[in-house]
Amino acid sequence: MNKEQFLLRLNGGLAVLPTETRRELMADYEDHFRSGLEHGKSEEEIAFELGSPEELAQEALELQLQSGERVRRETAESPAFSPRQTYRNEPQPQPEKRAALSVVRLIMLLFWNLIAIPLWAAGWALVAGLAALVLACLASPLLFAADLALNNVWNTAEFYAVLLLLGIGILAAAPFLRLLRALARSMVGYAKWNARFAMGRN
Amino acid sequence: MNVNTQFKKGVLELCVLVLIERQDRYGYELAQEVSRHIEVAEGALYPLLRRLVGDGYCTTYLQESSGGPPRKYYRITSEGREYARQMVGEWRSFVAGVARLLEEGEEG
Repeated sequence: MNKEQFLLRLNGGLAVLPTETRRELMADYEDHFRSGLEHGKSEEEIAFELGSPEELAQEALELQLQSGERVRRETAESPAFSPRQTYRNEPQPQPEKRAALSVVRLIMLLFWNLIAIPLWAAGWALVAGLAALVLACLASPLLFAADLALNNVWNTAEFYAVLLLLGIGILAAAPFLRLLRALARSMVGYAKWNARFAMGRN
Repeated sequence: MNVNTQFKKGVLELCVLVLIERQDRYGYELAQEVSRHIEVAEGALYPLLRRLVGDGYCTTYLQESSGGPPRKYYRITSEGREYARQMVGEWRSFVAGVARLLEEGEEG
């Protein structure tokens, strides 16, 4: 097999690739031939060392498919084409096994959630309590001002207590918000895990 | 495609990363270097290199060659360096594990 035959067979195998990708790959192989010839090899030798053009084309398609899937995951766009369908000899994923909603797993989840849901509720109750505490600390100057306006009595001890509470409220606000976000995130994660488990893909 | 070629394909990635970690190289040079040590279909390099570039493990640049069109050189990135380090570690423990397994078989 000489250079032209090799490139022709390879190009045929790469037909389903986007034009730009195919052009770049073909240029790589052409450069390889040129370098090989410069090093005193024959076209036949170089083609033999490169391997079967059909197998190389298949490999290139598989790799392109992988990176295509990565792009799809990142952009959540539907693919322009699906070269996977062209592989007959590849083991196909078994959809019935992957997507089946399992009754046994649902029952397992039910019992598991009998414990888990009260725990989540307790977590949220704790956060709600903390929220009330932080808000009360932050609102204490308002209450102090209202007290002053209504009763018209200046209480120095109360004033310092309010300053202290305000400080605590300000310091506690950021960690509290972080805690809130973390709890919300793990709750979403837990819900997703439930769905995955029920579908048999944990 | 038999098991042996699948196996080599995995190893090829490791070899290529290690080679370009040592110095920038162009495709043909990489093929020659790999072939010096292991028997592999050299053509498999190019789809692999494309993927490594796509994954951000290496970048390419063109450099003039003596009396010919410019060559495409591959240069490793810091992510590529980190990835290579991990792969070499995994490879070492894998090889050591297989060696232990074989030795156990000989003793028993």
